[in-house]
Amino acid sequence: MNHPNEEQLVLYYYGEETAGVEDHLGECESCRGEYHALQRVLNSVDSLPVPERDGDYESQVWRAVAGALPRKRSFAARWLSWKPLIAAAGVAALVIAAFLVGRGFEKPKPGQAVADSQVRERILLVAVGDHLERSQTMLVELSNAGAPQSGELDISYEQRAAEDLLESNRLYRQTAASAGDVATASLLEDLERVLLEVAHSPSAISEKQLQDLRKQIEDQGILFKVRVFGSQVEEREVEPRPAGPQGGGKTTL
Amino acid sequence: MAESGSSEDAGDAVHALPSHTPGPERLLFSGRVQRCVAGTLDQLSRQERTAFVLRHFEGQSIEEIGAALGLSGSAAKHSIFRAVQKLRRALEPLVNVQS
Repeated sequence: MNHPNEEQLVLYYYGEETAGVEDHLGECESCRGEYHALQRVLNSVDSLPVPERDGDYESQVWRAVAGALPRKRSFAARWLSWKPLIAAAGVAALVIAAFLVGRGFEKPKPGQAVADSQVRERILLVAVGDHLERSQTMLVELSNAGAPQSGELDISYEQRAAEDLLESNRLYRQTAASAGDVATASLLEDLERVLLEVAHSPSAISEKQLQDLRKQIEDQGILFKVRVFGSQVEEREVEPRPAGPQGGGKTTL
Repeated sequence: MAESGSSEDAGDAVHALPSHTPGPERLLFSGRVQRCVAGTLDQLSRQERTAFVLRHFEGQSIEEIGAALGLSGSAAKHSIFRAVQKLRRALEPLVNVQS
């Protein structure tokens, strides 16, 4: 083997390239000297003390890299721009469905009335499920926000999201109440309180205010309720309930 | 007088015992090396520093470092090599004088 170059010796030191280098070092005194000099330098680097990390280290790392990451909020932002349209479309679909059902069947048979109510309920479920998913995204972001770096945390983005979600939340809550879906209306009422709280908070909040907000989200158990509701919606979308005198049942929380 | 002489001898003998802790010269040298290493690491590019730290301190393989930094294996190797070269240039005068 020819004399290994410096790069090969470095790789040999780290155990990455051993083919022939070891044998050569056994035979060649000058390369051995070169390698020992490299070894001395790299061994001395090990004397650098490993800094002790405090309990907040993970948050520090997250804050350091968060700015460089693509904004996770872009998902919510995308939804945000479509939100008024989606909410309007959802409500319009409900109105049209109700109108068609009412016009086409002046004297509906009992079974048909049940089926129509199930159609309305499913439309509402899909629209509300979507709305809850967006609300959940925003609340999770707020719950997981790191401690404010410079005294205050800017939540203006979450506030705008909460304001927009609030509008559609009211629409869905009223629709659910008028459709007799008490459980959904009650969940949306709980969510409305939390959204109101976020929307009416200052746009820059202190760590204490952030903790209060988190506590409010936790106390209401809203994230848990939303998740349970979401999974029930998914189940009901996959397996439509058979028509029956009970009217398809309501989501219970 | 004789007693005081013997206590001085005993003190010398105690000082001559090998210590369990590094002596002041060794501590001074270690401090200089540490400062030099820290200063040189600060001067490396972010990619070189990350690649070197992952390889030298974390013991990650070239493939893992390449994957972490979005580099090919040879680019990761080269980053480590450049970092070692710079450390060598900075540390060799210190380390060789000591040895």
